[in-house]
This record gives sequence, C-alpha cells and structure tokens, in this order.
Amino acid sequence: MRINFALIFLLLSAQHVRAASCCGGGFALPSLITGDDKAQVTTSISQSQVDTDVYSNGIWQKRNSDDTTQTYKLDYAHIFADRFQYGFSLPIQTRQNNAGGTANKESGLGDISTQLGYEYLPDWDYNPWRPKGIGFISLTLPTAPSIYEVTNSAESRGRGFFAIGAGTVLTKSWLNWDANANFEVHHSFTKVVNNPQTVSGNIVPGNGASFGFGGGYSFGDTRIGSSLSWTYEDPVNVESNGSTSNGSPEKYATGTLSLSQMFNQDWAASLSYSDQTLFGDPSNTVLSKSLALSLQKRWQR
Amino acid sequence: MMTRALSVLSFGLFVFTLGCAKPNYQKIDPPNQTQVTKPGDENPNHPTPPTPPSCALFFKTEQICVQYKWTKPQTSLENMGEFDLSFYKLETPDLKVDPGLKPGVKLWMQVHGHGSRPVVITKTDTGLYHVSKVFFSMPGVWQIQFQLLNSSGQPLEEISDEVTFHEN
Repeated sequence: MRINFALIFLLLSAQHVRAASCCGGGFALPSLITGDDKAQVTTSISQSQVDTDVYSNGIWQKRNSDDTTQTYKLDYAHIFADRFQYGFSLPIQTRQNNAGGTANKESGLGDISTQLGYEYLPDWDYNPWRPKGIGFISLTLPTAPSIYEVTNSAESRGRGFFAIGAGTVLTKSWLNWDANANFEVHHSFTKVVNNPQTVSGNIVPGNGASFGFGGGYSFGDTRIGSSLSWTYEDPVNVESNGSTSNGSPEKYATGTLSLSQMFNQDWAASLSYSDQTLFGDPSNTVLSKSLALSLQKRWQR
Repeated sequence: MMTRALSVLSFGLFVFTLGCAKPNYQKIDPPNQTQVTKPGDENPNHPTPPTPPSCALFFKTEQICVQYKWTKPQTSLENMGEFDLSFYKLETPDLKVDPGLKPGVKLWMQVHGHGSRPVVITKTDTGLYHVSKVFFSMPGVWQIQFQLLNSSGQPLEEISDEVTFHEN
C-alpha cells in the first residue's frame, strides 16, 4: 500500500514541468503508470506566467507585461499485455497577452502526444535498492499553431513539429521516502511553412533532451515532494530563399514543489508550484512560474 | 514527526540549492542605438564590397543607400514602434530618390527562428516612407530586414540591422 502510494505520486506532480518555454510549449514528459494499477486518468489545470526572458548571450530581462497561459490537460494511460502500457496526453490551452496595445486571448488544442511504455525493470520482490524502470517511446503531433505560422504570439500553443522521443523513468521507495529519475531524448522533424506574413521555407529543428530527478516523503496519505529537471533543445534553423537563418540552442531548468493527497485507493490530487527562474544556466528561452492542480483516478489490476 | 519534517525540509533545501541559477540582469541599449550588419557579412563566399562610410545599409542591386530613424520606438510589449525610411544615392545624400523596386521591411528573431506580424509601409514623399506597426513580439535580439521586392513580392535583395528590444 505504501509503495503504491509513493509511486503513484512520483509523476503526478511532474507532468507540467516541461510545459513552459519559448513560443508555445516544450516537449512533454508522458503520463505513465508507475504504480501497480491497470489504468489511470489524470486531469489537470495549470496557470503559467512568463517571468523573465533570457537571451542567447545569457543576459536576463524581467518581463514587465502580462503573458499568461492556462492549460487544461487530460492524460490517460492503460496497461496491456502485463508490462506494456499505452497512453495519450490532450492539452487545451488559453493564452493571454496584451501585445501591441491589443488584448489577445486565444484558446484551443495544444500539441497532442501519445506514448508506448514497457516496464523493463520490474520490482516484484521489493528489492531494497534496485529501482523499478519503465521505458517509453513517445510521439508528439503538431496539432496546435506554432510561432512559425501565426502573427499573434497568443495563438501559438505548440512547438509546431512532429517529434519522436524515447526515455526512461526510474522509481524507488524506502518506507516513507521515495525517489525518481527520468531521462528522455527526442528528435523534432523539419516542417515546411508557407506564410508570407511570417516565414516561407523549411523550419529545421533538431534534437532535444531532458533529465530530471526528485524525491518526496509521505505522512500517511499526504506526500510532499520536490523535483528538478534540465531541458535542452537544439537550435531551430530556417531555410528560406536559398539562405539559412541559424538559431541558438535553448536550455532551462525547472524546479517543482508539490503537495499530494490520496483520498482512497482510486483517487488522488496534487498541487504543485514550478519555477524556471531558480536553477540552471538558462539560455535563449522564456522562464515562467506556474501553479498546477491535478486530480487522478486509477483503476487497480 | 518534527525530526522527519526537518529531514524533508533539509532534503528540499539540498535539492533546491543544487545548481541554483545565477541571473545576469543587465541594462540593454535602447532600440535606436543599433549595431549594423553590413551587406555580405553573413556569407564568406561573397565578400562584402567596400561599403561607403556614410552608407551602412547599402543595396547593391540598385546602388542605393537606405537609412531609418525611429520616430516612436517600441518601449514595451504593449505598444508598437514606428520609423521613417529614406533612400538616397551615396553621392547625393540630401536628395531622396525612389528605389526602382518596392521596398519591404520584415522583423526577424534569428535565435528562435521566427518573425513577427507584418509592418505597414506608407510612402510619404519621394524616397521617403513611414513604417508603422513595428512590433517586436518578445524581448531579445531582432533583425530589421530591409528588402527590395520583385513584382510578386519576393525579396530580391535583403540587408539587415540588428537591434535588441527590451521592455523599459
């Protein structure tokens, strides 16, 4: 019961940490079943506020104007064939800013992602040190308008690229303590944009990666936790009219504090605060602060 | 219970002090103090021809200089900027002349690989244009790309100036 409880919460509060970045969102860590359940649905709402712009030369500039994003997200994961699982993530975003003296508020679908996971390192015998390991591959679909296609940044709700990724999540708990780590790499594919008002040509992204770890402590049915993750994206280059505009790499780190509560075997909730201004050596990015509330329903095996 | 709570707090403090960010806030020059990218700088296979000293932005195809002057710099993300554009021959800088091709202006954020909304260009006199709705959609380094467009609106030549926009 206690092991279940800890593992359930490990990623419940970590699903939002990749959401805030330049121009409409980053690569999402998939929602995986890390406990002993058969299926889970997580609904979440998060509010994110742009705090600081960091230039490619590392100089920070505090953002004075409002630029907020509300994200409603539905994550689903289901076990099949004993150790395999599949799932998807469906975000709905509302972006709000006051660009150029005009109040803008745009809502719509974000980038949908799907994943296939496999529990390659089971923890059937509750080994004191060996973690439980789940590997995954994920596919992100560019279902949202990106900054390359719109003239109003409030309309940009996604990165704009097909992306395929692979990674792993490792979890472990000892009595009331738990720890987790995750690592993923992804590749985003070239996109052709033909918009005379923004850009006409090939938008060429590259590879990206993220690494994170965290831990927590459970008091009965309540858990407090913290996590830290680092994210890197290759430069986005633009090939247009026979010339290439070379971008700069983007990197940032996200720290998260979370408070989670399990109501019974099937229901849990989590409140988390994420801040991208506190850690790492960010470059060429937009740093945000966000608050998220998640509610999770699980079905046991 | 208190000991455990203190342990959790200590762990959190450890995690949160690991790799703390070191913000480097610096004052940035206002947008009308610019660095100039000279034509040809970006392509080593096509060396830049000698640029006339008083003509930093030079269209080779028409042998014509272009100069811009902010009349209303953008000061925040909640307003837009405006500038005047003038074309002249190097030998006669006081005499404004119309370019043979239609002029265009595009805002481009190279580090992120995206642009901004289109500007509005209005001809005010011979060789003089007013450019309005100049909107840098996020703080950072931007290129103002000055273009000469063909009849289908495609740029035949493009030169750029680099500005750093930040909110005051």
